[in-house]
Amino acid sequence: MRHPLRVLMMVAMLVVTVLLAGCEDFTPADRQFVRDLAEEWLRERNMSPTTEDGQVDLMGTIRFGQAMMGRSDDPDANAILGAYGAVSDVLAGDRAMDNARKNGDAAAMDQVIQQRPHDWTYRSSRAILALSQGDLATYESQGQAVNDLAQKEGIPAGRLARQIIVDYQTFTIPETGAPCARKYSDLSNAYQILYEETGDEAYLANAMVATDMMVGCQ
Amino acid sequence: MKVFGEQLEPDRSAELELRAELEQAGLDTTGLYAYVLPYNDGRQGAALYAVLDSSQGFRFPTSSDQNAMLAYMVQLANSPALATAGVDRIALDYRDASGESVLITTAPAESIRKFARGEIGREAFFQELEARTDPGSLTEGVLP
Repeated sequence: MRHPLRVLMMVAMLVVTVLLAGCEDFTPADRQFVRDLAEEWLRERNMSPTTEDGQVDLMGTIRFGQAMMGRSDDPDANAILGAYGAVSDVLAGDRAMDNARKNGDAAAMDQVIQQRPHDWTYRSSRAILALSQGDLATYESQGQAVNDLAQKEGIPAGRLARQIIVDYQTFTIPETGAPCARKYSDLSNAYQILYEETGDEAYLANAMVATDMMVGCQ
Repeated sequence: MKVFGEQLEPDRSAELELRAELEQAGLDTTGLYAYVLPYNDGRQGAALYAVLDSSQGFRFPTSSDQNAMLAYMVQLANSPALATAGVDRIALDYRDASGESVLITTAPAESIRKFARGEIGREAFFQELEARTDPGSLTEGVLP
């Protein structure tokens, strides 16, 4: 009696979930695409909850239940599927930071940095946003924090360079005065580092352009 | 011990290099959040957990179907930036327009490459693929 009862309970649970799922923001295209891939996967793995003639398949249902929970015989697969919650936390920070970058919202950025103070990419963006707003003190302090974290974590200079280039593409810096000079100095250094790392002449050309632009800031 | 440590700490540098590489290949990386997760259990290497976030503008380069998702896995498995970071497993977490996860798939990077090279067929590849899905998306219309 145990197995049929468990099957019935599982089916009942699934039906409830199906009803609840109808309330979610889930487009028809999303639904179809997910179903197509999931159904193909279930068929290939012999995990379909029903037989071809539509009857409940006991073993299939059990495997199906395990699949829904992301549980498999492969410990590495279980580990990464189990990282979902922790990844979602980081993702929430990244989405908030992306929105703050789009809106140039320093207060929102500071809030995200407070939650993940060791994330040097956040601090790099905060430094360049500060420069765009003429806040040289924050630019300096966040820039220093980036360097300290990079040193502590052994992050290669080329990787810092890539982030700073992305940040300067995101924020608009005044084309005169100290912020302008800092921008082109940073970019000149960043492109020089990437040139030395990759040997790509395009980086060298960009470094030279940035150096010329820096002279124009005076 | 947790495989990725007590507190998840993605390798941001590897993500930046991957992003630069995909953009150089002409792919739009909007809505892609790629987390390279170094192993913290004594092993060398890392796993990639890539969130494909429709709510943040992610779109597959081709149409949104199961082959597009597999093609994206292949693209990532062949990434030199990820190879340099020692990535040996790839997971894709597809999020819908509200940002909710609807399907997570994972497979060893080497199996994905074998599939891409035609050394294993679709059937054999699906034996290596693990998945986790929103039950509603999967069971609607399937159960009696």
